[in-house]
Amino acid sequence: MIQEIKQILRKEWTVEWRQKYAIQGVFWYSLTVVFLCYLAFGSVKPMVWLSLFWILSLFTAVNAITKSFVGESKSGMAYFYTMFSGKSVLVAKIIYHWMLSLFLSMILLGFYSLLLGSPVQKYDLFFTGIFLGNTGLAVALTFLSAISHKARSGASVMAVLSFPVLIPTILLAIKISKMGMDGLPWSTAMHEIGQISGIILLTGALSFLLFPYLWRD
Amino acid sequence: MDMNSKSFVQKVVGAKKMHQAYRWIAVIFLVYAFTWGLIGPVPAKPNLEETIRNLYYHVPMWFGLVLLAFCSFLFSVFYLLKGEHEADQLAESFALTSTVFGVLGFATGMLWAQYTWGNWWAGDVKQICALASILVYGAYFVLRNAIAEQQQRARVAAVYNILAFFSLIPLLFIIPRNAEFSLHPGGQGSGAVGNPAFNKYDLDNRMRLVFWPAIFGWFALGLWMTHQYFRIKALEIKKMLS
Repeated sequence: MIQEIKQILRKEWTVEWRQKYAIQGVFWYSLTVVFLCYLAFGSVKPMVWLSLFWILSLFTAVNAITKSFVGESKSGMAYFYTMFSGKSVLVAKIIYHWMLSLFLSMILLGFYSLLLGSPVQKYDLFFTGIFLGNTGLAVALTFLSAISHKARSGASVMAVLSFPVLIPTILLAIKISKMGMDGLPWSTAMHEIGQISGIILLTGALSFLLFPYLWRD
Repeated sequence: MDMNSKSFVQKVVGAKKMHQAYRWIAVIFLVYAFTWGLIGPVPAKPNLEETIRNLYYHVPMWFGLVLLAFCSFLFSVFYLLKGEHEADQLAESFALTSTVFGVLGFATGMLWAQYTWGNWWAGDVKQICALASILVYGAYFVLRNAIAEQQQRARVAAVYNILAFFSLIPLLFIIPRNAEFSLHPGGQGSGAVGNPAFNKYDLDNRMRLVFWPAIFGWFALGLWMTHQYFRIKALEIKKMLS
Protein backbone atom coordinates (compact mmCIF):
# COMPACT_ATOMS: atom_id res chain seq x y z
CA MET A 1 0.00 0.00 0.00
CA ILE A 2 2.81 2.41 0.85
CA GLN A 3 4.35 1.63 -2.51
CA GLU A 4 1.06 2.44 -4.22
CA ILE A 5 0.69 5.69 -2.31
CA LYS A 6 4.17 6.72 -3.36
CA GLN A 7 3.37 5.98 -7.00
CA ILE A 8 0.15 7.98 -6.91
CA LEU A 9 1.87 10.88 -5.20
CA ARG A 10 4.54 10.86 -7.88
CA LYS A 11 1.85 10.82 -10.55
CA GLU A 12 0.00 13.73 -8.93
CA TRP A 13 3.20 15.70 -8.68
CA THR A 14 4.18 14.98 -12.28
CA VAL A 15 0.77 15.98 -13.60
CA GLU A 16 0.77 19.12 -11.49
CA TRP A 17 4.23 20.05 -12.70
CA ARG A 18 3.49 19.25 -16.32
CA GLN A 19 0.37 21.39 -16.50
CA LYS A 20 1.67 24.28 -14.51
CA TYR A 21 -1.47 26.32 -15.00
CA ALA A 22 -3.23 24.89 -11.96
CA ILE A 23 -0.66 25.74 -9.35
CA GLN A 24 0.24 28.97 -11.12
CA GLY A 25 -3.44 29.83 -11.20
CA VAL A 26 -3.82 29.39 -7.47
CA PHE A 27 -0.62 31.33 -6.88
CA TRP A 28 -1.78 34.34 -8.88
CA TYR A 29 -5.26 33.98 -7.47
CA SER A 30 -3.97 34.37 -3.93
CA LEU A 31 -1.77 37.31 -4.90
CA THR A 32 -4.64 39.08 -6.65
CA VAL A 33 -7.10 38.46 -3.91
CA VAL A 34 -4.70 39.71 -1.22
CA PHE A 35 -3.99 42.78 -3.31
CA LEU A 36 -7.71 43.36 -3.69
CA CYS A 37 -8.18 43.09 0.06
CA TYR A 38 -5.34 45.52 0.60
CA LEU A 39 -6.96 48.02 -1.77
CA ALA A 40 -10.39 47.53 -0.25
CA PHE A 41 -9.45 47.57 3.42
CA GLY A 42 -6.21 49.53 3.64
CA SER A 43 -5.32 48.69 7.20
CA VAL A 44 -7.37 46.31 9.33
CA LYS A 45 -7.93 45.47 12.97
CA PRO A 46 -6.33 42.23 14.23
CA MET A 47 -9.58 40.25 14.41
CA VAL A 48 -10.60 41.32 10.89
CA TRP A 49 -7.08 40.51 9.74
CA LEU A 50 -7.42 36.99 11.08
CA SER A 51 -10.93 36.34 9.80
CA LEU A 52 -10.07 37.64 6.37
CA PHE A 53 -7.00 35.46 6.28
CA TRP A 54 -9.02 32.35 7.08
CA ILE A 55 -11.69 33.16 4.53
CA LEU A 56 -9.03 33.61 1.87
CA SER A 57 -7.36 30.39 3.01
CA LEU A 58 -10.64 28.52 2.80
CA PHE A 59 -11.39 29.72 -0.72
CA THR A 60 -7.85 29.01 -1.89
CA ALA A 61 -8.01 25.48 -0.47
CA VAL A 62 -11.44 24.81 -1.97
CA ASN A 63 -10.25 26.09 -5.34
CA ALA A 64 -7.11 24.00 -5.25
CA ILE A 65 -8.69 20.78 -4.01
CA THR A 66 -11.98 20.82 -5.94
CA LYS A 67 -10.28 19.90 -9.17
CA SER A 68 -8.73 16.80 -7.61
CA PHE A 69 -11.50 14.31 -8.33
CA VAL A 70 -13.78 16.64 -10.24
CA GLY A 71 -10.95 17.33 -12.68
CA GLU A 72 -10.24 13.67 -13.17
CA SER A 73 -11.61 12.37 -16.47
CA LYS A 74 -13.73 9.23 -16.70
CA SER A 75 -11.02 7.29 -18.49
CA GLY A 76 -8.46 8.54 -15.99
CA MET A 77 -10.60 7.20 -13.16
CA ALA A 78 -11.03 3.88 -14.96
CA TYR A 79 -7.28 3.61 -15.32
CA PHE A 80 -6.80 4.41 -11.65
CA TYR A 81 -9.39 1.84 -10.79
CA THR A 82 -7.54 -0.97 -12.48
CA MET A 83 -4.19 0.04 -11.04
CA PHE A 84 -4.73 0.88 -7.40
CA SER A 85 -6.95 0.13 -4.45
CA GLY A 86 -9.40 2.85 -3.47
CA LYS A 87 -7.92 3.32 -0.05
CA SER A 88 -4.43 4.05 -1.29
CA VAL A 89 -5.82 6.56 -3.81
CA LEU A 90 -7.62 8.32 -0.97
CA VAL A 91 -4.61 8.38 1.34
CA ALA A 92 -2.34 9.61 -1.42
CA LYS A 93 -4.76 12.35 -2.41
CA ILE A 94 -5.15 13.45 1.20
CA ILE A 95 -1.37 13.62 1.67
CA TYR A 96 -0.97 15.52 -1.56
CA HIS A 97 -3.72 18.02 -0.75
CA TRP A 98 -2.40 18.43 2.73
CA MET A 99 1.00 19.47 1.45
CA LEU A 100 -0.56 21.60 -1.28
CA SER A 101 -2.87 23.49 1.06
CA LEU A 102 -0.11 24.09 3.61
CA PHE A 103 2.15 25.37 0.86
CA LEU A 104 -0.57 27.64 -0.53
CA SER A 105 -1.50 29.06 2.84
CA MET A 106 2.16 29.85 3.51
CA ILE A 107 2.33 31.75 0.23
CA LEU A 108 -0.93 33.46 1.08
CA LEU A 109 0.33 34.39 4.53
CA GLY A 110 3.51 35.80 2.99
CA PHE A 111 1.67 38.11 0.60
CA TYR A 112 -0.88 38.94 3.20
CA SER A 113 1.60 39.97 5.88
CA LEU A 114 3.61 41.91 3.31
CA LEU A 115 0.67 44.07 2.27
CA LEU A 116 -1.54 44.18 5.36
CA GLY A 117 1.08 43.79 8.10
CA SER A 118 1.06 41.11 10.76
CA PRO A 119 -0.35 41.48 14.28
CA VAL A 120 0.79 37.98 15.28
CA GLN A 121 2.61 37.88 18.61
CA LYS A 122 3.30 34.21 19.06
CA TYR A 123 4.16 32.50 15.82
CA ASP A 124 4.45 28.91 17.02
CA LEU A 125 0.87 28.76 18.29
CA PHE A 126 -0.37 30.71 15.29
CA PHE A 127 1.28 28.26 12.91
CA THR A 128 -0.13 25.34 14.87
CA GLY A 129 -3.57 26.79 14.17
CA ILE A 130 -2.79 27.11 10.47
CA PHE A 131 -1.28 23.64 10.38
CA LEU A 132 -4.25 21.95 12.06
CA GLY A 133 -6.79 24.00 10.14
CA ASN A 134 -5.26 23.13 6.80
CA THR A 135 -4.96 19.48 7.76
CA GLY A 136 -8.66 19.47 8.53
CA LEU A 137 -9.46 21.25 5.29
CA ALA A 138 -7.36 18.84 3.24
CA VAL A 139 -8.93 15.72 4.76
CA ALA A 140 -12.52 16.91 4.51
CA LEU A 141 -12.20 18.54 1.11
CA THR A 142 -10.55 15.51 -0.47
CA PHE A 143 -13.46 13.35 0.57
CA LEU A 144 -16.06 15.94 -0.41
CA SER A 145 -14.36 16.34 -3.76
CA ALA A 146 -14.78 12.61 -4.28
CA ILE A 147 -18.47 12.91 -3.38
CA SER A 148 -19.16 15.84 -5.65
CA HIS A 149 -17.24 14.16 -8.45
CA LYS A 150 -20.23 11.83 -8.66
CA ALA A 151 -22.68 14.71 -9.10
CA ARG A 152 -23.35 16.29 -12.47
CA SER A 153 -22.19 19.80 -11.70
CA GLY A 154 -19.10 19.11 -9.67
CA ALA A 155 -17.74 22.49 -8.71
CA SER A 156 -20.95 24.17 -7.56
CA VAL A 157 -22.10 21.14 -5.58
CA MET A 158 -18.66 21.10 -4.01
CA ALA A 159 -19.12 24.58 -2.59
CA VAL A 160 -22.56 23.78 -1.19
CA LEU A 161 -21.36 20.54 0.37
CA SER A 162 -18.10 21.71 1.80
CA PHE A 163 -18.77 25.02 3.54
CA PRO A 164 -21.25 23.84 6.18
CA VAL A 165 -19.27 20.69 6.92
CA LEU A 166 -16.11 22.74 7.36
CA ILE A 167 -17.59 25.23 9.84
CA PRO A 168 -16.41 23.45 13.03
CA THR A 169 -12.88 23.01 11.67
CA ILE A 170 -12.63 26.62 10.59
CA LEU A 171 -14.08 27.93 13.85
CA LEU A 172 -11.61 25.95 15.93
CA ALA A 173 -8.69 26.86 13.68
CA ILE A 174 -9.59 30.53 13.97
CA LYS A 175 -9.76 30.19 17.74
CA ILE A 176 -6.35 28.56 17.99
CA SER A 177 -4.66 31.00 15.65
CA LYS A 178 -6.32 33.90 17.43
CA MET A 179 -4.72 32.76 20.67
CA GLY A 180 -1.41 32.72 18.82
CA MET A 181 -2.11 36.16 17.45
CA ASP A 182 -2.85 37.51 20.93
CA GLY A 183 0.23 35.81 22.35
CA LEU A 184 -1.61 33.64 24.84
CA PRO A 185 0.18 30.68 26.46
CA TRP A 186 -0.07 27.19 24.95
CA SER A 187 -2.06 25.82 27.84
CA THR A 188 -5.11 27.92 26.92
CA ALA A 189 -5.27 26.39 23.46
CA MET A 190 -4.94 22.74 24.47
CA HIS A 191 -8.69 22.17 24.69
CA GLU A 192 -9.25 23.45 21.14
CA ILE A 193 -6.22 21.62 19.79
CA GLY A 194 -7.62 18.39 21.18
CA GLN A 195 -11.03 19.02 19.65
CA ILE A 196 -9.78 19.93 16.20
CA SER A 197 -7.51 16.87 16.21
CA GLY A 198 -10.53 14.78 17.15
CA ILE A 199 -12.53 16.20 14.26
CA ILE A 200 -9.65 15.57 11.84
CA LEU A 201 -9.28 11.98 13.03
CA LEU A 202 -13.02 11.40 12.80
CA THR A 203 -13.26 12.80 9.27
CA GLY A 204 -10.19 10.82 8.26
CA ALA A 205 -11.58 7.58 9.65
CA LEU A 206 -14.97 8.16 8.03
CA SER A 207 -13.42 8.90 4.63
CA PHE A 208 -11.27 5.83 4.92
CA LEU A 209 -14.28 3.64 5.70
CA LEU A 210 -16.66 5.19 3.20
CA PHE A 211 -14.40 5.86 0.25
CA PRO A 212 -14.65 2.31 -1.15
CA TYR A 213 -18.40 2.87 -1.62
CA LEU A 214 -17.74 5.92 -3.76
CA TRP A 215 -14.94 4.27 -5.61
CA ARG A 216 -16.59 1.28 -7.19
CA ASP A 217 -18.95 2.25 -9.95
CA MET B 1 -34.30 -9.52 -7.80
CA ASP B 2 -37.31 -11.49 -6.69
CA MET B 3 -40.16 -9.02 -6.68
CA ASN B 4 -42.40 -11.02 -4.39
CA SER B 5 -40.11 -11.42 -1.43
CA LYS B 6 -40.19 -8.37 0.77
CA SER B 7 -37.00 -6.65 1.77
CA PHE B 8 -36.20 -5.99 5.39
CA VAL B 9 -37.10 -2.31 5.13
CA GLN B 10 -40.39 -3.08 3.42
CA LYS B 11 -41.26 -5.38 6.29
CA VAL B 12 -40.40 -2.73 8.84
CA VAL B 13 -42.35 -0.03 7.05
CA GLY B 14 -45.23 -2.32 6.22
CA ALA B 15 -45.87 -3.35 9.82
CA LYS B 16 -49.31 -1.88 10.17
CA LYS B 17 -49.65 -2.17 13.93
CA MET B 18 -46.47 -0.23 14.60
CA HIS B 19 -47.56 2.48 12.22
CA GLN B 20 -50.87 2.86 14.02
CA ALA B 21 -49.17 2.66 17.38
CA TYR B 22 -47.00 5.71 16.89
CA ARG B 23 -49.81 7.62 15.31
CA TRP B 24 -51.88 7.15 18.46
CA ILE B 25 -48.92 7.81 20.71
CA ALA B 26 -48.40 11.10 18.89
CA VAL B 27 -52.05 12.12 19.18
CA ILE B 28 -52.45 11.25 22.86
CA PHE B 29 -49.16 12.63 24.07
CA LEU B 30 -49.38 15.82 22.06
CA VAL B 31 -52.95 16.57 23.09
CA TYR B 32 -51.79 16.13 26.67
CA ALA B 33 -48.67 18.25 26.13
CA PHE B 34 -50.63 21.03 24.45
CA THR B 35 -53.42 21.26 27.00
CA TRP B 36 -51.52 20.60 30.22
CA GLY B 37 -48.54 22.47 28.83
CA LEU B 38 -50.63 25.60 28.51
CA ILE B 39 -52.74 25.39 31.66
CA GLY B 40 -50.43 23.47 33.98
CA PRO B 41 -48.40 25.17 36.73
CA VAL B 42 -44.89 26.48 36.00
CA PRO B 43 -42.30 28.03 38.32
CA ALA B 44 -42.41 31.81 38.30
CA LYS B 45 -39.02 32.97 37.07
CA PRO B 46 -38.15 36.60 36.53
CA ASN B 47 -37.91 37.61 32.90
CA LEU B 48 -38.96 34.17 31.67
CA GLU B 49 -42.43 34.26 33.23
CA GLU B 50 -44.91 32.26 31.19
CA THR B 51 -42.61 32.00 28.18
CA ILE B 52 -40.91 29.13 30.00
CA ARG B 53 -43.65 26.98 28.48
CA ASN B 54 -41.78 27.24 25.21
CA LEU B 55 -39.63 24.48 26.64
CA TYR B 56 -42.42 22.05 25.74
CA TYR B 57 -42.33 23.04 22.09
CA HIS B 58 -38.84 24.28 21.37
CA VAL B 59 -36.66 21.67 23.05
CA PRO B 60 -38.57 18.62 21.71
CA MET B 61 -37.81 19.94 18.20
CA TRP B 62 -34.09 19.56 18.80
CA PHE B 63 -34.58 16.15 20.36
CA GLY B 64 -36.61 15.24 17.29
CA LEU B 65 -33.98 16.58 14.94
CA VAL B 66 -31.20 14.56 16.54
CA LEU B 67 -33.24 11.35 16.84
CA LEU B 68 -34.60 11.55 13.29
CA ALA B 69 -31.16 12.39 11.90
CA PHE B 70 -29.87 9.37 13.76
CA CYS B 71 -32.54 7.16 12.14
CA SER B 72 -31.62 8.62 8.77
CA PHE B 73 -27.98 7.81 9.47
CA LEU B 74 -28.86 4.23 10.46
CA PHE B 75 -30.77 3.62 7.25
CA SER B 76 -27.96 5.10 5.18
CA VAL B 77 -25.52 2.69 6.81
CA PHE B 78 -28.03 -0.09 6.17
CA TYR B 79 -28.27 0.91 2.51
CA LEU B 80 -24.50 0.79 2.06
CA LEU B 81 -24.35 -2.64 3.68
CA LYS B 82 -27.39 -4.28 2.10
CA GLY B 83 -28.18 -2.17 -0.95
CA GLU B 84 -31.93 -2.20 -0.42
CA HIS B 85 -33.40 0.63 -2.38
CA GLU B 86 -36.11 1.31 0.22
CA ALA B 87 -33.50 1.97 2.88
CA ASP B 88 -32.24 4.90 0.84
CA GLN B 89 -35.75 6.30 0.44
CA LEU B 90 -36.35 5.93 4.12
CA ALA B 91 -33.08 7.69 4.90
CA GLU B 92 -34.19 10.53 2.67
CA SER B 93 -37.58 10.73 4.37
CA PHE B 94 -35.97 10.81 7.79
CA ALA B 95 -33.54 13.52 6.69
CA LEU B 96 -36.45 15.57 5.43
CA THR B 97 -38.48 15.35 8.63
CA SER B 98 -35.33 15.99 10.63
CA THR B 99 -34.79 19.20 8.66
CA VAL B 100 -38.43 20.18 9.16
CA PHE B 101 -37.97 19.72 12.92
CA GLY B 102 -34.81 21.82 12.73
CA VAL B 103 -36.62 24.64 10.95
CA LEU B 104 -39.48 24.46 13.47
CA GLY B 105 -36.98 24.45 16.33
CA PHE B 106 -35.55 27.60 14.84
CA ALA B 107 -38.95 29.20 14.43
CA THR B 108 -40.07 28.43 17.99
CA GLY B 109 -36.71 29.55 19.34
CA MET B 110 -36.65 32.82 17.42
CA LEU B 111 -40.22 33.66 18.33
CA TRP B 112 -39.35 33.12 21.97
CA ALA B 113 -36.05 35.00 21.69
CA GLN B 114 -37.83 37.97 20.24
CA TYR B 115 -39.73 38.38 23.52
CA THR B 116 -37.05 37.31 25.96
CA TRP B 117 -33.75 38.36 24.41
CA GLY B 118 -35.30 41.21 22.49
CA ASN B 119 -34.21 40.05 19.07
CA TRP B 120 -35.07 37.43 16.48
CA TRP B 121 -31.43 36.70 15.90
CA ALA B 122 -29.10 37.15 18.84
CA GLY B 123 -25.97 35.65 17.27
CA ASP B 124 -25.92 33.06 20.02
CA VAL B 125 -23.52 30.17 19.55
CA LYS B 126 -26.33 27.63 19.52
CA GLN B 127 -28.24 29.56 16.90
CA ILE B 128 -25.13 29.64 14.74
CA CYS B 129 -24.42 25.95 15.13
CA ALA B 130 -28.06 25.04 14.53
CA LEU B 131 -28.09 27.07 11.34
CA ALA B 132 -24.90 25.35 10.22
CA SER B 133 -26.45 21.94 10.84
CA ILE B 134 -29.49 22.87 8.77
CA LEU B 135 -27.13 23.96 5.99
CA VAL B 136 -25.42 20.56 6.19
CA TYR B 137 -28.75 18.81 5.60
CA GLY B 138 -29.74 21.32 2.92
CA ALA B 139 -26.63 20.29 1.04
CA TYR B 140 -27.77 16.67 1.31
CA PHE B 141 -30.87 17.46 -0.75
CA VAL B 142 -28.86 19.50 -3.25
CA LEU B 143 -26.56 16.52 -3.68
CA ARG B 144 -29.49 14.14 -4.20
CA ASN B 145 -30.95 16.35 -6.89
CA ALA B 146 -27.62 16.74 -8.63
CA ILE B 147 -27.29 13.04 -9.41
CA ALA B 148 -29.67 11.65 -11.99
CA GLU B 149 -28.83 7.97 -11.96
CA GLN B 150 -30.81 6.32 -9.19
CA GLN B 151 -28.34 3.80 -7.75
CA GLN B 152 -25.48 6.22 -7.91
CA ARG B 153 -27.59 8.84 -6.16
CA ALA B 154 -28.57 6.45 -3.40
CA ARG B 155 -24.98 5.42 -2.75
CA VAL B 156 -23.40 8.87 -2.86
CA ALA B 157 -26.22 10.35 -0.78
CA ALA B 158 -25.80 7.59 1.81
CA VAL B 159 -22.08 8.31 2.04
CA TYR B 160 -22.69 12.02 2.47
CA ASN B 161 -25.46 11.43 4.97
CA ILE B 162 -23.11 9.49 7.23
CA LEU B 163 -20.61 12.33 7.06
CA ALA B 164 -23.43 14.81 7.71
CA PHE B 165 -24.54 12.99 10.83
CA PHE B 166 -21.02 12.97 12.21
CA SER B 167 -20.68 16.67 11.53
CA LEU B 168 -23.75 17.23 13.70
CA ILE B 169 -21.79 15.98 16.69
CA PRO B 170 -19.32 18.88 16.88
CA LEU B 171 -21.99 21.36 15.82
CA LEU B 172 -24.64 20.42 18.36
CA PHE B 173 -22.71 18.80 21.18
CA ILE B 174 -19.15 20.11 21.27
CA ILE B 175 -18.88 23.69 20.10
CA PRO B 176 -21.90 25.02 22.08
CA ARG B 177 -20.58 23.41 25.24
CA ASN B 178 -17.24 25.10 25.30
CA ALA B 179 -18.37 28.47 24.05
CA GLU B 180 -17.33 31.19 26.44
CA PHE B 181 -20.74 32.73 26.43
CA SER B 182 -24.16 31.60 25.40
CA LEU B 183 -27.59 32.98 26.05
CA HIS B 184 -28.88 29.46 26.15
CA PRO B 185 -29.11 27.69 29.50
CA GLY B 186 -25.88 26.17 30.74
CA GLY B 187 -23.73 28.63 28.86
CA GLN B 188 -23.59 31.61 31.18
CA GLY B 189 -20.12 32.82 31.91
CA SER B 190 -16.90 31.03 31.11
CA GLY B 191 -16.26 27.52 32.27
CA ALA B 192 -19.91 26.55 32.00
CA VAL B 193 -19.14 23.17 30.50
CA GLY B 194 -21.94 20.66 30.67
CA ASN B 195 -25.16 19.73 29.05
CA PRO B 196 -26.47 23.00 27.69
CA ALA B 197 -30.09 21.91 27.83
CA PHE B 198 -30.60 20.60 31.32
CA ASN B 199 -28.30 21.36 34.20
CA LYS B 200 -29.37 24.88 34.70
CA TYR B 201 -32.74 24.70 33.13
CA ASP B 202 -35.34 25.89 35.54
CA LEU B 203 -37.05 22.61 35.10
CA ASP B 204 -38.95 21.39 38.13
CA ASN B 205 -40.86 18.17 38.60
CA ARG B 206 -44.16 19.68 37.53
CA MET B 207 -42.64 20.67 34.23
CA ARG B 208 -40.97 17.32 33.74
CA LEU B 209 -44.43 15.76 33.75
CA VAL B 210 -45.16 17.62 30.53
CA PHE B 211 -41.69 17.88 29.08
CA TRP B 212 -40.87 14.19 28.62
CA PRO B 213 -44.27 13.19 27.22
CA ALA B 214 -43.96 16.14 24.83
CA ILE B 215 -40.62 14.85 23.57
CA PHE B 216 -42.08 11.41 23.15
CA GLY B 217 -45.13 12.73 21.33
CA TRP B 218 -43.19 14.96 18.96
CA PHE B 219 -40.82 12.17 18.11
CA ALA B 220 -43.74 9.85 17.40
CA LEU B 221 -45.21 12.55 15.18
CA GLY B 222 -41.87 12.76 13.39
CA LEU B 223 -41.93 9.02 12.78
CA TRP B 224 -45.46 9.23 11.46
CA MET B 225 -44.56 12.12 9.13
CA THR B 226 -41.57 10.18 7.86
CA HIS B 227 -43.73 7.19 7.19
CA GLN B 228 -46.31 9.21 5.28
CA TYR B 229 -43.65 10.90 3.17
CA PHE B 230 -42.08 7.54 2.44
CA ARG B 231 -45.42 6.12 1.32
CA ILE B 232 -46.14 9.10 -0.92
CA LYS B 233 -42.74 8.68 -2.54
CA ALA B 234 -43.33 4.99 -3.04
CA LEU B 235 -46.70 5.69 -4.70
CA GLU B 236 -45.11 8.26 -6.99
CA ILE B 237 -42.52 5.73 -8.10
CA LYS B 238 -45.22 3.11 -8.64
CA LYS B 239 -47.21 5.56 -10.74
CA MET B 240 -44.15 6.44 -12.78
CA LEU B 241 -43.40 2.81 -13.51
CA SER B 242 -46.93 1.84 -14.53
